[in-house]
Amino acid sequence: MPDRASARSVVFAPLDPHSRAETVVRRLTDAITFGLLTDAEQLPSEADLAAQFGVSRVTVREALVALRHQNLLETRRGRGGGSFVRAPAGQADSSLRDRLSEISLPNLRDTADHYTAIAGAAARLAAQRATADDAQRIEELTGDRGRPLHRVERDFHLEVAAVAQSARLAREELRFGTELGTLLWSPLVRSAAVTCDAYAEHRAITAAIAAGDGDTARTLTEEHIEKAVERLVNLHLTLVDP
Amino acid sequence: MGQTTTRRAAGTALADHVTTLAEQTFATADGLRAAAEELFSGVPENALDLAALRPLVSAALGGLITGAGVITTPLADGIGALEWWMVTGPGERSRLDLDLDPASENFVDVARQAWFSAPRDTGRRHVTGPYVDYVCAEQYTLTFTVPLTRRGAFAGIAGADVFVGDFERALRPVLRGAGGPVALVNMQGRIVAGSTAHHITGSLIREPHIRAALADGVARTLTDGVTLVPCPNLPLAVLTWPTG
Repeated sequence: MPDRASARSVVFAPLDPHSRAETVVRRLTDAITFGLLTDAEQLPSEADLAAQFGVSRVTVREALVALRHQNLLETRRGRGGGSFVRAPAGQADSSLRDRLSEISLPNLRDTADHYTAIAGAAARLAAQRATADDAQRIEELTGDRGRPLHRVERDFHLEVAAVAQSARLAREELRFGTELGTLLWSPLVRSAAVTCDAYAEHRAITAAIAAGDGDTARTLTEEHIEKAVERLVNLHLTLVDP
Repeated sequence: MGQTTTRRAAGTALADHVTTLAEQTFATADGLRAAAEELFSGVPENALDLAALRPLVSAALGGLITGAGVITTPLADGIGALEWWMVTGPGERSRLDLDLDPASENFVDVARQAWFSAPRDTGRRHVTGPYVDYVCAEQYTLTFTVPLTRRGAFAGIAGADVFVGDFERALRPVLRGAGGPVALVNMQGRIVAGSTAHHITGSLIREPHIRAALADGVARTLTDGVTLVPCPNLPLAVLTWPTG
């Protein structure tokens, strides 16, 4: 049984500087795994990465070393040099499978509940506050099948939150887009479920928003996310050893 | 009749105040426009470096203005240039970093944004918002932009951002002094700031007769005693409702 006092002392212990490097590693690994950073793409300079992540250059360097060890980056010296992404074919699937089989179902359920509350509320408010032009802007995002689904999903729900006139809900959408979205809308999860048509679901949500029907927009959005979570959970269960 | 006159006077007072604030903000945007156009005229397009505008952009920040700068249409290399700065905390500023390369994964298509497309399409200045600005500051914002031209053609925008919360605070004394329900709205009927819980920022005026009057843009009193006072040369108007 854990000692409560010592558990509390852990909570308030100084942050380990290495955990920052790990966070950077995790962020970049995810980005490479999910194709946000593409093969052979050059990363920004160490100084730029440090500024963007809000960490020291030493932390960035430590993270880059770890990524090189995982063969996710290669470094070229000299003119035109820098850190370049290495994303061998097939790697995306296997990393995602590893991450999927590691997730905790209670945590996933809780994260998904939170996200459903955010996205559902945004859809309801969007229906109350959308002009015809706003509905049109959302509509434009529902047709483009040329882009990766997780990006389409992020842009769609972000636009809905913007139409809801809520900066806070939009910020939450941006956060969930990177935290949960890459997993929830990954191609791997979709290929496991042939019946999924996220685009048709977007169009139905958009129609409800355009019609000013907040309750329907909310319900459809909640179902849209619940279905994706269900697919993710089923895939997780097939990946976990019996 | 007496009440309508008083209500309209309250509307005019708010419209005047809004106009003053908006003109000040546009004056800043226009200063950036002039500097950008001068820079444009002096060099060939492939040598254009907006960094020369940095001191002026930096000086534009402060007061109500939390973001300002210049964004161009695609240059010779097909990629737009920008020099835009934001206030990110007390005494803290940062340069907006947007990926304007259409070939890039993280491309931000500014042409989709009203603060860019409206000045481009009309050749006139524009107030965008209130809107959730998820491209820049992730805040509820009003963006004041003017078109900039090069050899007579549209070449980009110069502009300034004001957070809606700050704008509302600046209007508050006049809103409170209005003696009854009053609201500043944009041309879509979206409320920028209002004096009652019913007319809360971000909500839409739904009544068709008020929306029709807004589209006309002419000062008038509607049959139900609602008065409309347009803010001159701005896509904004003040509505007042009868008291009691």
